[in-house]
Amino acid sequence: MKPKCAIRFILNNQEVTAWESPGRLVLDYLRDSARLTGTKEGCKEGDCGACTVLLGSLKDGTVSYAPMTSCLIPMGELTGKHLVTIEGLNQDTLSPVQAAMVDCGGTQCGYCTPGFVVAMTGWLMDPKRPISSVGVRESISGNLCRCTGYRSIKEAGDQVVEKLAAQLNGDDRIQLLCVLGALPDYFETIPERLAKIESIAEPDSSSFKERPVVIGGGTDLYVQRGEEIPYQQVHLLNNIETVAPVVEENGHTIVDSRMSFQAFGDDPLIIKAIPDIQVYNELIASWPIRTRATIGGNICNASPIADMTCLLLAMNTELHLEGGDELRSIPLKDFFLGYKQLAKTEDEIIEKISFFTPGEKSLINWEKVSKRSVLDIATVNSAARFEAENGFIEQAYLVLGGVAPIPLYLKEASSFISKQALTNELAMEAIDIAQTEFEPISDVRGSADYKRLLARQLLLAHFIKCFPEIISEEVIYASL
Amino acid sequence: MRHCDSELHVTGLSEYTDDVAPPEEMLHGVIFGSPIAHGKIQKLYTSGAEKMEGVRGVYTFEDIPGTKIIGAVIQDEPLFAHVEVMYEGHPLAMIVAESVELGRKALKACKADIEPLPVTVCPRKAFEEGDVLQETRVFEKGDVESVWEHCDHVIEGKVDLAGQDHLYLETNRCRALPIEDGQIKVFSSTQSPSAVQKWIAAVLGVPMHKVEVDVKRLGGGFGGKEDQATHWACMAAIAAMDLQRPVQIVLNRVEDMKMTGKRHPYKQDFKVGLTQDGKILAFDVAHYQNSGAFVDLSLPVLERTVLHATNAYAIPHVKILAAACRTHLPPNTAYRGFGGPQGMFALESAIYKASIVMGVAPEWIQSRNLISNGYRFHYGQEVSACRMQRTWDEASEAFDFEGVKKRVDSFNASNRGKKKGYAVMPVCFGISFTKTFLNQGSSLVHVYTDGSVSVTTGGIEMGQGVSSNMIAIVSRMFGISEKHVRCNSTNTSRIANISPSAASATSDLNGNATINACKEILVGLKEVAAKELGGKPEEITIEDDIVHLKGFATDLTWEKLVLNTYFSRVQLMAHGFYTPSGLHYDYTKKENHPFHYHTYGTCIIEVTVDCLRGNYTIDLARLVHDLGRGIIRSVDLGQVEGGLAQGIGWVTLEELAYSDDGLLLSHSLSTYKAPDGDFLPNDIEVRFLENADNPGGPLGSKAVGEPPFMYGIAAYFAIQRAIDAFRLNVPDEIVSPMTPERVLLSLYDKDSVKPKQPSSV
Ligand SMILES: Cc1cc2nc3c(=O)[nH]c(=O)nc-3n(C[C@H](O)[C@H](O)[C@H](O)COP(=O)(O)OP(=O)(O)OC[C@H]3O[C@@H](n4cnc5c(N)ncnc54)[C@H](O)[C@@H]3O)c2cc1C
Ligand code: FES
Ligand code: FES
Repeated sequence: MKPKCAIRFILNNQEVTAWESPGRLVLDYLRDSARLTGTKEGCKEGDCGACTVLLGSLKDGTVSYAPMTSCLIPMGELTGKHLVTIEGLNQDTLSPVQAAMVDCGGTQCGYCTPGFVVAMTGWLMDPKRPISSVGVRESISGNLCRCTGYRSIKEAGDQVVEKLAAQLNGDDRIQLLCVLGALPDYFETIPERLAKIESIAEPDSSSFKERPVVIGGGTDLYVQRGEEIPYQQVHLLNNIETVAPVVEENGHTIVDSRMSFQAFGDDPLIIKAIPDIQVYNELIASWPIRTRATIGGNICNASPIADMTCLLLAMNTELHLEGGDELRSIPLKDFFLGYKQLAKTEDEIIEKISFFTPGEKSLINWEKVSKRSVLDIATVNSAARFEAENGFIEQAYLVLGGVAPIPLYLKEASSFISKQALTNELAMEAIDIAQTEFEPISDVRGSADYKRLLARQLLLAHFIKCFPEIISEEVIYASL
Repeated sequence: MRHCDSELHVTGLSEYTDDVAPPEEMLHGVIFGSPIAHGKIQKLYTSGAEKMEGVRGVYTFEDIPGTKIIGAVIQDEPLFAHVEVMYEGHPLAMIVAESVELGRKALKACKADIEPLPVTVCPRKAFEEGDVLQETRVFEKGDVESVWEHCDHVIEGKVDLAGQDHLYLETNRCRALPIEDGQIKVFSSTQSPSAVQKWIAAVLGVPMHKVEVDVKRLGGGFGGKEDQATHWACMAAIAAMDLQRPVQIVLNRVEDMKMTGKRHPYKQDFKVGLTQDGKILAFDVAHYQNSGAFVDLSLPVLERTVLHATNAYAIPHVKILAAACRTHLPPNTAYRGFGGPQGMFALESAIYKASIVMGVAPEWIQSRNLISNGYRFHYGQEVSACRMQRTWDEASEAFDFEGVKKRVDSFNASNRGKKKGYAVMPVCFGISFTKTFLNQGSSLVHVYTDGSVSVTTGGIEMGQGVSSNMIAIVSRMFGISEKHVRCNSTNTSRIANISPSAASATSDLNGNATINACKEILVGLKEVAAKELGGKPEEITIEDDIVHLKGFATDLTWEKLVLNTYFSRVQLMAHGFYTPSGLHYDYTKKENHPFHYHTYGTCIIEVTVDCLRGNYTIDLARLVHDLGRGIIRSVDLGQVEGGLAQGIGWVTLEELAYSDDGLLLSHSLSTYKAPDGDFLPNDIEVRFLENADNPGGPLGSKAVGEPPFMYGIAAYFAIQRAIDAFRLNVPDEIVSPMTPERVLLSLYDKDSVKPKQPSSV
């Protein structure tokens, strides 16, 4: 039976109470129940962006909006939120984003178009996002269009930037956008109205008749079990309390496991610890997926190619679990027992993760190769952290994903290269040793031969990037 | 002017088939497809599903009231699998339920006992086993065998060319509503409303006039809904008639990918002979088309492969073998280019290989062999009004081919870990359906008493802008503002016997028909105006909504004229018909004229390969295209850029991976990667030839839908040349797509990886 409950939120410019199963997908609700059909279904797996909506959350009197693919959002998460669809962006005249799309010929069959308009508008609304040509291109990283070839859409983005950039300085972009006609005026009333919606209590997990499905961002779960979850009891981690920012304590960086990839990459402490995190993030999923995908979900889904897990393994991360008999901690590298087998009970939840904060001597690099650079799953990924000084490696942590049943910490290779003065030969030897630690299989993402080769190349990339004065690009010719 | 639906699209208010508010009592059909690619059906278990909550009916082969076997060219395809399943996803049954969710639940209760039979996925293998869909044909011009010995270079090779999913963002869907007196009204996302009408009538066993098919717009088609939207509409119609309730079918992405046919994969053998100075004397090619399980449109697709096998090159001796090979994949079907791209790819592969052997740049060979007026194609048609050389010269100059070569060479000389490559692709593409009878267009123009005008044609709006073109044509013909004109949905009750919207010819055929309809109405309008203004009809013109006499504006407005015409009891609506003259094609004859005209263009693409990781970026694509005199610039530009994008995708990222037993492994968007905004270059430059009127097209235009697709082929050879700059390693078989995997495995030997235990220190 569907466990239904009343969910109160604001849909565009209207307060609604929906009597729904909390696990039902927002996309299905919008199209079938609310009859708002501007939101389209193209894949139901988060991969096309045709279903993109904005979700606004109230915090300290302001509402911040994030783009999300409605095909992966559980209804239960709408409680107390502002859900914005393409219809909710419409005014009597076209907004600058809409007008630019028309003007530049950025729409042909039109099926993808609402998604692009919503994503671009969402970008303008988020004060953390730069209003630039490159920025707007990033905003559509989750949107596919089969008709246009994108040039016209990018041109539309440029046109919007040109028109609005100068006027969008300051943090209260929503208000500015309302003044500029880029958002309907009602957006200014939302903070007050959201504050009035008292959030209804989530069903207490102890009252679940069956073990509920624990949902973080749902970006793995709905892809894998999208047809069943709407009928099941769900435990929505995001509804517990707002995710706390990263903190640093006693040389350790501590992260709420429910943190989204996007928030992780935007956090100043993470940027300090992992300077290239934002570059990496652009190669992980897409903007609307990163606003949902959580660190904890990435780890617990235990996919061998999990990107954040790969990076965090190299950071020598510890997991802090609750829900068992006692709170306990376990190193991430001991967490994976076999394919999708975790060293935890079903009731345990990762609450926090932590790693020792990188310092002067730390060198970190993460690599990913997938067929398409953006919004694609890695064929092989790899991460490295070196604690090194003047070419002497005190400690190395090398990781490979996509070559084994689990995200693989390379024990042998890491220990071999540690406490050594790096040379060309030593690096190559470490890479050869690494090759003995896994046996890749052929699958839809690549043949075993390819993965082996990639593994070598990506490990090499770490050395080239972290130690350019010792290891130059020339080494890649040595293997010919 | 912009695409006429633009404002609806950007506000999310345009309605697609299933966006229209559904009738209260509507049911939903979901399809039970075969789990294996080939086998004998022993037993189908559907009774469990029948008993499930909300299920109103289950339909199989036995439940088809009329014709049970359908097919666009040859009737060979059972609407539901019967006796044998022929591909994974082959529909076995349809469940009709109160909601999609309940239908999908019931789907899980369906089972089938199927005895597996051997599976063929390779067309060469099918060919060797003699499993071909028609007798294998050989086309010859001159005598290739006689010239090999006169060639300075004779090069042979093989090609393995993959298919391509259409990936229209809107999957296949339809809605069927029973109405009084045994009639049915069907909304379908189809490129061929008349085919849908015809086959629904056939499967129901009713006359075609009882079936009305209406199509407002498609969320993309690209050929994928030319023939393969029909099945779902037929299924929905059967259930709707049986239950007397509306039935809707919407395939989800995975179903659409598994159950529908795609661009045809080909395997090819080629042999090319050249003189020392780069002249191609002979080209011998064998095309083994992977046709899939049923004929569908494979035969006409193969025909176009043959017609375009020499692309834009003048070759005195040509031999082409064309085999349509049956495999256990869904019946492959129309896809932008319709076999042309496959035909052209083989020859580009030959030129590339020849360039390596001869130590020259491929464009050196290409440029020495371009066609010009007077050349006779192997199918007998003589080239006239040729603009091949012109597009090449303009592209070469505008984009500085010489400079690109120097820049790329010097980059490669000074970079180790990254290499650049570029390639040029000339395209000559024939416009017309090669099935000559399909070259007909119809249009219905209504001028209402308030001066507003509606136009309905056989053209389907699928994003390509045909409705905008029709509006532009009507407005220019009448001399009135576009805001007076609307384009209606395509409907079989308003237009009969519609040719599919395909072959790039939709705007040509329906546009010319619209011109004819407008002309007929104009005769009456001018007579009425002449009478009123005291002149002769031929002295009347209309410009900017104002009637002019002898070139001077009068007080008579368009609205007033229309009203007067109505009160004068003169016709304000007309049906226009058009067919181009002089077309004929019969493959058994030497002298043919299959094409109304050809369209031309030249493209250059440049790429950079990361030789450490094996991935690459497409840096730029620049091209000169012959568009005739374009109708709406932004619409035409969109067609060129969109075609280019799909062409690039076809030869780079888009990989249909099958298991040995014929199961599609890349059956969702997470595994089948099409180009996104990041992958496609920001630097895309399209130039149209100036002063290039085309007497054969409406208002001097040329068809634009398909030809630009083939520019994408340049991306393949650009990457190959970047690889060559790192390490010359010409493959025995040219395999497309050029995925990052293929690149890395070309850059390094797989055996160069040496696992090694740590040496004991
Ligand atoms: C379009 C798309 C693109 C993607 N691209 C990438 C990519 O590039 N790289 C990549 O690595 N991944 C990618 N993913 C996969 C996915 O987004 C990530 O793995 C994400 O981190 C999963 O997090 P989630 O919170 O959404 O997990 P969920 O789906 O909510 O949960 C996944 C699993 O983890 C469990 N779980 C979640 N949180 C916790 C917790 N705190 N404690 C215990 N158990 C928990 C759940 O019960 C479930 O079993 C992509 C997914 C999609 C849909
Ligand atoms: S439907 Fe494709 S991302 Fe949601
Ligand atoms: S306009 Fe058709 S998919 Fe983008």
